[in-house]
Amino acid sequence: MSSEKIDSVLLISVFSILAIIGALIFIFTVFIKQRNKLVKEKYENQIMSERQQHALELQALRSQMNPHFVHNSLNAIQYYIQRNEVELSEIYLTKFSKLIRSFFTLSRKRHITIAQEMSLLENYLSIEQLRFEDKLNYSITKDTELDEEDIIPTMLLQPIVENAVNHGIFHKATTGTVAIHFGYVSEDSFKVTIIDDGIGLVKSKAIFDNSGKELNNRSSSVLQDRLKLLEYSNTWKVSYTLEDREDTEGAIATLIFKPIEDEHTSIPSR
Amino acid sequence: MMSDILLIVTKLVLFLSAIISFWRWKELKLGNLVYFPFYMLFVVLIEVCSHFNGISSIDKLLYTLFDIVTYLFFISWFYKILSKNKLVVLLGVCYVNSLIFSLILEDITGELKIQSTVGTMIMFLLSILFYTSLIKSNQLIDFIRLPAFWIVTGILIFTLGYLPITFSLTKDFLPSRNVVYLILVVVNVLLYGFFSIAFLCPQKR
Repeated sequence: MSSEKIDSVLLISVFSILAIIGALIFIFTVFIKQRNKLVKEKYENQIMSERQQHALELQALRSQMNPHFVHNSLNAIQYYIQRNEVELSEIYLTKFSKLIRSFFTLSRKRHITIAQEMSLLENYLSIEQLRFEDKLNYSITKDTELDEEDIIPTMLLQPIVENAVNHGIFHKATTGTVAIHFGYVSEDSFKVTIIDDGIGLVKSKAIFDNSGKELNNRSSSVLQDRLKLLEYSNTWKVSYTLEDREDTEGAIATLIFKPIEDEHTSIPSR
Repeated sequence: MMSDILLIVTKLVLFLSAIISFWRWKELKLGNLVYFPFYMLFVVLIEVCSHFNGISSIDKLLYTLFDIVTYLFFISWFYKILSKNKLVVLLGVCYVNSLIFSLILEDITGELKIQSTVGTMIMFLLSILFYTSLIKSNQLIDFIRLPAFWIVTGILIFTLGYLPITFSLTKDFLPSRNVVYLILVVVNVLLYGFFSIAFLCPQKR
Protein backbone atom coordinates (compact mmCIF):
# COMPACT_ATOMS: atom_id res chain seq x y z
CA MET A 1 0.00 0.00 0.00
CA SER A 2 1.24 3.48 -0.76
CA SER A 3 1.72 5.85 2.16
CA GLU A 4 -1.10 8.03 0.80
CA LYS A 5 -3.48 5.04 0.86
CA ILE A 6 -2.38 4.03 4.37
CA ASP A 7 -3.07 7.59 5.54
CA SER A 8 -6.58 7.49 4.06
CA VAL A 9 -7.30 4.08 5.59
CA LEU A 10 -6.08 5.26 8.96
CA LEU A 11 -8.08 8.46 8.65
CA ILE A 12 -11.33 6.61 7.84
CA SER A 13 -10.82 4.10 10.68
CA VAL A 14 -9.96 6.74 13.25
CA PHE A 15 -12.83 8.97 12.10
CA SER A 16 -15.38 6.14 12.24
CA ILE A 17 -14.33 4.91 15.66
CA LEU A 18 -14.09 8.41 17.12
CA ALA A 19 -17.48 9.31 15.63
CA ILE A 20 -19.07 6.23 17.20
CA ILE A 21 -17.51 6.73 20.62
CA GLY A 22 -18.14 10.49 20.53
CA ALA A 23 -21.78 10.00 19.49
CA LEU A 24 -22.42 7.47 22.25
CA ILE A 25 -20.87 9.69 24.91
CA PHE A 26 -22.68 12.76 23.57
CA ILE A 27 -26.10 11.07 23.36
CA PHE A 28 -25.96 9.59 26.84
CA THR A 29 -24.50 12.73 28.45
CA VAL A 30 -27.12 15.02 26.88
CA PHE A 31 -30.01 12.66 27.58
CA ILE A 32 -29.06 11.98 31.18
CA LYS A 33 -28.54 15.71 31.82
CA GLN A 34 -31.88 16.59 30.21
CA ARG A 35 -33.62 13.77 32.03
CA ASN A 36 -32.31 14.98 35.38
CA LYS A 37 -33.48 18.49 34.53
CA LEU A 38 -36.93 17.20 33.60
CA VAL A 39 -37.16 15.07 36.74
CA LYS A 40 -36.17 18.08 38.86
CA GLU A 41 -38.77 20.26 37.14
CA LYS A 42 -41.47 17.64 37.63
CA TYR A 43 -40.49 17.19 41.25
CA GLU A 44 -40.63 20.92 41.87
CA ASN A 45 -44.02 21.17 40.14
CA GLN A 46 -45.29 18.32 42.26
CA ILE A 47 -44.02 19.97 45.43
CA MET A 48 -45.60 23.26 44.37
CA SER A 49 -48.96 21.67 43.65
CA GLU A 50 -48.82 19.77 46.94
CA ARG A 51 -48.11 23.02 48.76
CA GLN A 52 -50.95 24.73 46.95
CA GLN A 53 -53.19 21.87 47.97
CA HIS A 54 -51.99 22.15 51.56
CA ALA A 55 -52.63 25.89 51.48
CA LEU A 56 -56.19 25.26 50.29
CA GLU A 57 -56.71 22.59 52.92
CA LEU A 58 -55.38 24.96 55.56
CA GLN A 59 -57.73 27.65 54.37
CA ALA A 60 -60.63 25.20 54.54
CA LEU A 61 -59.64 24.20 58.06
CA ARG A 62 -59.23 27.80 59.15
CA SER A 63 -62.69 28.64 57.95
CA GLN A 64 -64.25 25.83 59.94
CA MET A 65 -66.10 27.18 62.92
CA ASN A 66 -67.10 24.68 65.53
CA PRO A 67 -70.84 24.03 65.07
CA HIS A 68 -71.16 23.50 68.82
CA PHE A 69 -69.86 26.98 69.43
CA VAL A 70 -72.36 28.48 66.97
CA HIS A 71 -75.15 26.41 68.47
CA ASN A 72 -74.21 27.35 72.06
CA SER A 73 -73.93 31.04 71.20
CA LEU A 74 -77.31 31.12 69.45
CA ASN A 75 -78.85 29.22 72.36
CA ALA A 76 -77.43 31.77 74.79
CA ILE A 77 -78.81 34.66 72.73
CA GLN A 78 -82.19 32.92 72.64
CA TYR A 79 -81.96 32.45 76.44
CA TYR A 80 -81.41 36.19 77.01
CA ILE A 81 -84.23 37.10 74.63
CA GLN A 82 -86.58 34.72 76.44
CA ARG A 83 -85.56 36.31 79.75
CA ASN A 84 -86.28 39.68 78.18
CA GLU A 85 -82.71 40.80 78.68
CA VAL A 86 -82.71 42.70 75.41
CA GLU A 87 -79.60 44.73 76.10
CA LEU A 88 -77.56 41.68 77.00
CA SER A 89 -78.82 39.75 74.00
CA GLU A 90 -77.92 42.71 71.76
CA ILE A 91 -74.40 42.84 73.21
CA TYR A 92 -74.11 39.10 72.70
CA LEU A 93 -75.41 39.32 69.13
CA THR A 94 -73.07 42.20 68.28
CA LYS A 95 -70.04 40.34 69.63
CA PHE A 96 -71.12 37.17 67.89
CA SER A 97 -71.58 38.84 64.52
CA LYS A 98 -68.23 40.62 64.93
CA LEU A 99 -66.56 37.30 65.69
CA ILE A 100 -68.14 35.59 62.69
CA ARG A 101 -67.05 38.46 60.45
CA SER A 102 -63.50 38.16 61.81
CA PHE A 103 -63.56 34.40 61.26
CA PHE A 104 -64.54 34.78 57.63
CA THR A 105 -62.13 37.65 56.95
CA LEU A 106 -59.11 36.21 58.70
CA SER A 107 -59.60 32.62 57.56
CA ARG A 108 -58.63 33.71 54.03
CA LYS A 109 -55.23 34.81 55.30
CA ARG A 110 -52.39 32.44 56.00
CA HIS A 111 -50.90 34.71 58.64
CA ILE A 112 -52.21 37.48 60.81
CA THR A 113 -50.50 39.76 63.30
CA ILE A 114 -50.31 38.88 66.96
CA ALA A 115 -52.49 41.94 67.65
CA GLN A 116 -55.22 40.56 65.35
CA GLU A 117 -54.99 37.12 66.96
CA MET A 118 -55.25 38.67 70.43
CA SER A 119 -58.28 40.67 69.36
CA LEU A 120 -59.94 37.57 67.89
CA LEU A 121 -59.34 35.58 71.08
CA GLU A 122 -60.58 38.50 73.18
CA ASN A 123 -63.76 38.58 71.13
CA TYR A 124 -64.23 34.84 71.35
CA LEU A 125 -63.64 34.68 75.11
CA SER A 126 -65.93 37.64 75.78
CA ILE A 127 -68.75 35.72 74.07
CA GLU A 128 -67.96 32.59 76.05
CA GLN A 129 -67.88 34.74 79.19
CA LEU A 130 -71.40 35.94 78.47
CA ARG A 131 -72.53 32.35 78.06
CA PHE A 132 -70.74 31.20 81.22
CA GLU A 133 -71.90 34.32 83.08
CA ASP A 134 -69.71 34.65 86.18
CA LYS A 135 -68.13 31.25 85.81
CA LEU A 136 -65.38 32.32 83.39
CA ASN A 137 -62.54 34.81 83.74
CA TYR A 138 -59.84 35.31 81.21
CA SER A 139 -56.67 37.28 80.55
CA ILE A 140 -54.67 37.84 77.38
CA THR A 141 -51.15 39.20 77.90
CA LYS A 142 -47.98 39.71 75.93
CA ASP A 143 -44.28 40.24 76.65
CA THR A 144 -43.16 43.77 75.90
CA GLU A 145 -40.20 42.46 73.80
CA LEU A 146 -42.66 40.81 71.44
CA ASP A 147 -43.82 42.99 68.58
CA GLU A 148 -47.60 43.13 68.08
CA GLU A 149 -47.00 43.21 64.33
CA ASP A 150 -45.20 39.89 64.34
CA ILE A 151 -47.10 37.26 62.39
CA ILE A 152 -48.71 34.04 63.52
CA PRO A 153 -50.61 31.32 61.62
CA THR A 154 -54.23 32.40 61.47
CA MET A 155 -56.58 31.17 64.18
CA LEU A 156 -54.45 28.31 65.38
CA LEU A 157 -55.00 29.19 69.02
CA GLN A 158 -58.79 29.44 68.98
CA PRO A 159 -59.43 25.66 69.02
CA ILE A 160 -57.04 25.27 71.99
CA VAL A 161 -58.79 28.05 73.90
CA GLU A 162 -62.11 26.45 72.96
CA ASN A 163 -60.91 23.14 74.49
CA ALA A 164 -59.75 24.90 77.66
CA VAL A 165 -63.19 26.47 78.06
CA ASN A 166 -65.38 23.52 77.09
CA HIS A 167 -63.40 20.67 78.62
CA GLY A 168 -61.57 22.43 81.46
CA ILE A 169 -63.72 25.25 82.83
CA PHE A 170 -67.15 23.90 81.81
CA HIS A 171 -67.00 20.97 84.25
CA LYS A 172 -65.60 23.02 87.10
CA ALA A 173 -68.01 23.86 89.92
CA THR A 174 -66.44 27.24 90.71
CA THR A 175 -65.26 30.13 88.56
CA GLY A 176 -62.46 29.22 86.16
CA THR A 177 -59.77 31.29 84.51
CA VAL A 178 -58.14 30.99 81.12
CA ALA A 179 -54.84 32.86 80.82
CA ILE A 180 -53.28 33.33 77.41
CA HIS A 181 -49.73 34.64 77.26
CA PHE A 182 -47.64 35.53 74.21
CA GLY A 183 -44.00 35.24 75.25
CA TYR A 184 -40.75 36.29 73.57
CA VAL A 185 -38.30 33.41 72.99
CA SER A 186 -35.75 34.73 70.52
CA GLU A 187 -35.40 37.04 67.52
CA ASP A 188 -37.22 34.58 65.24
CA SER A 189 -39.30 32.62 67.70
CA PHE A 190 -42.08 33.15 70.21
CA LYS A 191 -44.17 31.09 72.59
CA VAL A 192 -47.87 31.07 73.43
CA THR A 193 -49.12 29.45 76.62
CA ILE A 194 -52.79 28.80 77.31
CA ILE A 195 -53.32 27.99 80.95
CA ASP A 196 -56.63 27.08 82.51
CA ASP A 197 -57.48 26.14 86.08
CA GLY A 198 -60.24 23.76 85.06
CA ILE A 199 -60.57 20.09 85.90
CA GLY A 200 -57.48 19.02 83.92
CA LEU A 201 -56.99 16.51 81.14
CA VAL A 202 -57.27 13.32 83.19
CA LYS A 203 -60.56 14.26 84.85
CA SER A 204 -61.98 15.59 81.62
CA LYS A 205 -61.27 12.30 79.88
CA ALA A 206 -62.75 10.38 82.82
CA ILE A 207 -65.99 12.41 82.55
CA PHE A 208 -66.26 11.52 78.90
CA ASP A 209 -65.53 7.87 79.60
CA ASN A 210 -68.17 7.73 82.33
CA SER A 211 -70.78 9.44 80.18
CA GLY A 212 -70.37 6.64 77.64
CA LYS A 213 -69.71 9.20 74.91
CA GLU A 214 -66.82 8.84 72.57
CA LEU A 215 -64.35 11.69 73.00
CA ASN A 216 -64.76 13.10 69.52
CA ASN A 217 -62.89 16.32 70.00
CA ARG A 218 -63.32 18.28 66.78
CA SER A 219 -61.17 21.21 67.89
CA SER A 220 -58.25 18.90 68.64
CA SER A 221 -58.52 17.08 65.33
CA VAL A 222 -58.68 20.37 63.40
CA LEU A 223 -55.64 21.56 65.34
CA GLN A 224 -53.67 18.39 64.66
CA ASP A 225 -54.55 18.58 60.95
CA ARG A 226 -53.48 22.19 60.78
CA LEU A 227 -50.17 21.59 62.57
CA LYS A 228 -49.46 18.70 60.19
CA LEU A 229 -50.29 20.80 57.13
CA LEU A 230 -48.20 23.72 58.38
CA GLU A 231 -45.26 21.36 58.67
CA TYR A 232 -45.88 19.89 55.18
CA SER A 233 -46.24 23.30 53.61
CA ASN A 234 -42.87 24.23 55.09
CA THR A 235 -44.00 27.58 56.39
CA TRP A 236 -43.96 27.21 60.16
CA LYS A 237 -42.30 24.95 62.65
CA VAL A 238 -44.74 24.73 65.53
CA SER A 239 -44.07 22.58 68.56
CA TYR A 240 -47.21 21.89 70.56
CA THR A 241 -47.55 20.32 74.01
CA LEU A 242 -50.61 19.86 76.19
CA GLU A 243 -50.31 18.60 79.74
CA ASP A 244 -51.89 18.80 83.17
CA ARG A 245 -50.61 21.53 85.47
CA GLU A 246 -48.31 20.36 88.25
CA ASP A 247 -48.91 23.23 90.72
CA THR A 248 -52.70 23.06 90.71
CA GLU A 249 -55.65 21.63 88.77
CA GLY A 250 -56.00 22.52 85.13
CA ALA A 251 -54.10 22.14 81.91
CA ILE A 252 -51.37 24.03 80.12
CA ALA A 253 -50.96 24.15 76.37
CA THR A 254 -47.68 25.47 74.99
CA LEU A 255 -46.97 26.36 71.38
CA ILE A 256 -43.56 27.50 70.18
CA PHE A 257 -43.63 29.19 66.77
CA LYS A 258 -40.71 29.49 64.42
CA PRO A 259 -41.20 30.60 60.80
CA ILE A 260 -39.37 28.61 58.12
CA GLU A 261 -37.99 30.63 55.25
CA ASP A 262 -37.17 28.67 52.13
CA GLU A 263 -37.13 29.29 48.38
CA HIS A 264 -40.67 27.96 47.95
CA THR A 265 -42.37 29.93 50.67
CA SER A 266 -42.99 33.59 50.96
CA ILE A 267 -43.61 34.38 54.57
CA PRO A 268 -43.48 38.06 55.22
CA SER A 269 -40.49 39.01 57.29
CA ARG A 270 -41.18 39.64 60.91
CA MET B 1 -8.52 -15.69 9.27
CA MET B 2 -9.05 -12.66 11.50
CA SER B 3 -11.72 -11.28 9.18
CA ASP B 4 -13.53 -14.64 9.22
CA ILE B 5 -13.67 -14.61 13.02
CA LEU B 6 -14.95 -11.04 12.98
CA LEU B 7 -17.68 -11.95 10.49
CA ILE B 8 -18.74 -14.96 12.58
CA VAL B 9 -19.01 -12.70 15.65
CA THR B 10 -21.20 -10.27 13.69
CA LYS B 11 -23.49 -13.02 12.44
CA LEU B 12 -23.78 -14.55 15.90
CA VAL B 13 -24.94 -11.22 17.33
CA LEU B 14 -27.40 -10.89 14.45
CA PHE B 15 -28.85 -14.40 14.98
CA LEU B 16 -29.06 -13.82 18.72
CA SER B 17 -30.95 -10.58 18.14
CA ALA B 18 -33.34 -12.32 15.72
CA ILE B 19 -33.97 -15.11 18.25
CA ILE B 20 -34.69 -12.54 20.98
CA SER B 21 -37.12 -10.71 18.68
CA PHE B 22 -39.12 -13.93 18.12
CA TRP B 23 -38.88 -14.93 21.77
CA ARG B 24 -40.31 -11.52 22.72
CA TRP B 25 -42.87 -11.54 19.90
CA LYS B 26 -45.90 -11.39 22.22
CA GLU B 27 -44.45 -8.36 24.01
CA LEU B 28 -43.34 -6.66 20.79
CA LYS B 29 -46.91 -6.85 19.48
CA LEU B 30 -47.90 -4.37 22.20
CA GLY B 31 -45.50 -1.65 21.03
CA ASN B 32 -43.95 -0.09 17.95
CA LEU B 33 -41.60 -2.96 17.18
CA VAL B 34 -44.34 -5.25 15.92
CA TYR B 35 -42.75 -5.86 12.49
CA PHE B 36 -39.16 -6.16 13.72
CA PRO B 37 -39.12 -9.96 14.03
CA PHE B 38 -40.06 -10.18 10.32
CA TYR B 39 -37.35 -7.71 9.45
CA MET B 40 -34.82 -9.66 11.52
CA LEU B 41 -35.92 -12.84 9.73
CA PHE B 42 -35.36 -11.08 6.42
CA VAL B 43 -31.85 -10.00 7.49
CA VAL B 44 -31.00 -13.53 8.63
CA LEU B 45 -32.25 -14.95 5.31
CA ILE B 46 -30.11 -12.48 3.35
CA GLU B 47 -27.07 -13.44 5.44
CA VAL B 48 -27.73 -17.17 5.00
CA CYS B 49 -28.30 -16.82 1.23
CA SER B 50 -25.18 -14.71 0.91
CA HIS B 51 -23.15 -17.24 2.88
CA PHE B 52 -24.13 -20.19 0.69
CA ASN B 53 -24.01 -18.28 -2.58
CA GLY B 54 -20.62 -18.10 -4.24
CA ILE B 55 -21.51 -15.77 -7.11
CA SER B 56 -20.38 -12.20 -6.49
CA SER B 57 -23.02 -10.48 -8.65
CA ILE B 58 -25.90 -12.31 -6.88
CA ASP B 59 -24.27 -11.43 -3.58
CA LYS B 60 -24.29 -7.76 -4.53
CA LEU B 61 -27.88 -8.03 -5.69
CA LEU B 62 -28.86 -9.57 -2.37
CA TYR B 63 -27.21 -6.76 -0.45
CA THR B 64 -28.80 -4.15 -2.72
CA LEU B 65 -32.17 -5.74 -1.96
CA PHE B 66 -31.21 -5.72 1.73
CA ASP B 67 -30.38 -1.99 1.54
CA ILE B 68 -33.64 -1.07 -0.20
CA VAL B 69 -35.83 -3.09 2.19
CA THR B 70 -33.90 -1.79 5.21
CA TYR B 71 -34.18 1.88 4.25
CA LEU B 72 -37.87 1.62 3.34
CA PHE B 73 -38.62 -0.37 6.48
CA PHE B 74 -36.91 2.15 8.78
CA ILE B 75 -38.39 5.19 6.99
CA SER B 76 -41.88 3.73 7.52
CA TRP B 77 -41.00 2.89 11.14
CA PHE B 78 -39.76 6.44 11.78
CA TYR B 79 -42.96 7.75 10.16
CA LYS B 80 -44.94 5.73 12.71
CA ILE B 81 -42.94 6.66 15.81
CA LEU B 82 -42.56 10.33 14.90
CA SER B 83 -46.35 10.77 14.78
CA LYS B 84 -46.60 10.87 10.99
CA ASN B 85 -44.17 13.76 10.66
CA LYS B 86 -44.27 15.38 7.20
CA LEU B 87 -40.48 15.69 7.16
CA VAL B 88 -40.27 11.89 7.27
CA VAL B 89 -42.54 11.74 4.21
CA LEU B 90 -40.26 14.24 2.44
CA LEU B 91 -37.16 12.23 3.28
CA GLY B 92 -38.96 9.07 2.16
CA VAL B 93 -39.71 10.70 -1.20
CA CYS B 94 -36.03 11.74 -1.45
CA TYR B 95 -34.97 8.16 -0.88
CA VAL B 96 -37.40 6.77 -3.49
CA ASN B 97 -36.09 9.34 -6.00
CA SER B 98 -32.49 8.39 -5.25
CA LEU B 99 -33.45 4.74 -5.73
CA ILE B 100 -34.98 5.53 -9.12
CA PHE B 101 -31.85 7.48 -10.10
CA SER B 102 -29.68 4.58 -8.97
CA LEU B 103 -31.71 2.06 -10.96
CA ILE B 104 -31.49 4.25 -14.07
CA LEU B 105 -27.90 5.42 -13.75
CA GLU B 106 -26.17 2.49 -12.09
CA ASP B 107 -25.71 -1.19 -12.78
CA ILE B 108 -28.19 -3.22 -10.69
CA THR B 109 -25.78 -6.14 -10.44
CA GLY B 110 -23.15 -3.77 -9.06
CA GLU B 111 -23.53 -1.47 -6.06
CA LEU B 112 -26.30 1.16 -6.10
CA LYS B 113 -24.11 3.79 -4.49
CA ILE B 114 -26.51 6.76 -4.85
CA GLN B 115 -29.39 5.13 -3.00
CA SER B 116 -27.00 3.71 -0.42
CA THR B 117 -25.43 7.11 0.36
CA VAL B 118 -28.76 8.96 0.36
CA GLY B 119 -30.36 6.20 2.47
CA THR B 120 -27.56 6.32 5.06
CA MET B 121 -27.80 10.11 5.28
CA ILE B 122 -31.59 9.91 5.64
CA MET B 123 -31.17 7.42 8.49
CA PHE B 124 -28.78 9.87 10.14
CA LEU B 125 -31.24 12.76 9.76
CA LEU B 126 -34.18 10.68 11.01
CA SER B 127 -32.17 9.64 14.06
CA ILE B 128 -31.45 13.30 14.86
CA LEU B 129 -35.15 14.09 14.30
CA PHE B 130 -36.11 11.35 16.74
CA TYR B 131 -33.65 12.58 19.38
CA THR B 132 -34.93 16.15 19.01
CA SER B 133 -38.50 15.02 19.52
CA LEU B 134 -37.54 12.71 22.44
CA ILE B 135 -35.60 15.40 24.26
CA LYS B 136 -38.72 17.60 24.26
CA SER B 137 -41.08 14.88 25.48
CA ASN B 138 -41.84 13.41 28.89
CA GLN B 139 -40.67 10.00 27.69
CA LEU B 140 -37.15 11.30 28.30
CA ILE B 141 -37.56 10.55 32.02
CA ASP B 142 -37.31 6.83 31.35
CA PHE B 143 -35.41 6.82 28.05
CA ILE B 144 -33.22 3.89 29.12
CA ARG B 145 -36.32 1.66 29.04
CA LEU B 146 -37.59 3.10 25.77
CA PRO B 147 -37.23 0.52 22.92
CA ALA B 148 -37.22 3.21 20.21
CA PHE B 149 -34.24 4.93 21.87
CA TRP B 150 -32.09 1.80 21.58
CA ILE B 151 -33.21 1.09 18.01
CA VAL B 152 -32.40 4.65 16.92
CA THR B 153 -29.09 4.68 18.81
CA GLY B 154 -28.17 1.45 17.00
CA ILE B 155 -29.13 3.01 13.66
CA LEU B 156 -27.17 6.20 14.39
CA ILE B 157 -24.04 4.32 15.44
CA PHE B 158 -24.32 2.13 12.33
CA THR B 159 -24.78 5.20 10.15
CA LEU B 160 -21.80 7.03 11.68
CA GLY B 161 -19.56 4.04 11.15
CA TYR B 162 -20.95 3.24 7.72
CA LEU B 163 -21.01 6.78 6.27
CA PRO B 164 -17.22 7.00 5.72
CA ILE B 165 -17.37 3.67 3.90
CA THR B 166 -20.27 4.76 1.68
CA PHE B 167 -18.45 8.02 0.90
CA SER B 168 -15.32 6.11 -0.04
CA LEU B 169 -17.51 3.88 -2.24
CA THR B 170 -18.80 6.90 -4.13
CA LYS B 171 -15.20 8.01 -4.72
CA ASP B 172 -14.31 4.52 -5.99
CA PHE B 173 -11.88 4.17 -3.18
CA LEU B 174 -12.33 1.37 -0.72
CA PRO B 175 -10.09 1.16 2.32
CA SER B 176 -8.38 -2.12 2.99
CA ARG B 177 -10.57 -5.20 3.51
CA ASN B 178 -9.52 -5.52 7.14
CA VAL B 179 -10.47 -1.95 7.97
CA VAL B 180 -13.88 -2.38 6.33
CA TYR B 181 -14.41 -5.63 8.21
CA LEU B 182 -13.35 -4.11 11.49
CA ILE B 183 -15.67 -1.13 11.10
CA LEU B 184 -18.53 -3.33 9.88
CA VAL B 185 -18.10 -5.72 12.79
CA VAL B 186 -18.10 -2.92 15.34
CA VAL B 187 -21.15 -1.16 13.89
CA ASN B 188 -23.06 -4.39 13.30
CA VAL B 189 -22.36 -5.71 16.79
CA LEU B 190 -23.49 -2.39 18.24
CA LEU B 191 -26.54 -2.22 15.92
CA TYR B 192 -27.85 -5.70 16.70
CA GLY B 193 -26.73 -5.43 20.31
CA PHE B 194 -28.84 -2.30 20.72
CA PHE B 195 -31.71 -3.98 18.83
CA SER B 196 -31.56 -6.83 21.34
CA ILE B 197 -31.74 -4.35 24.25
CA ALA B 198 -34.74 -2.72 22.55
CA PHE B 199 -36.50 -6.10 22.20
CA LEU B 200 -35.89 -6.80 25.88
CA CYS B 201 -37.27 -3.43 27.03
CA PRO B 202 -40.86 -3.29 28.31
CA GLN B 203 -43.08 -2.49 25.33
CA LYS B 204 -45.71 0.19 25.57
CA ARG B 205 -48.33 1.21 23.10
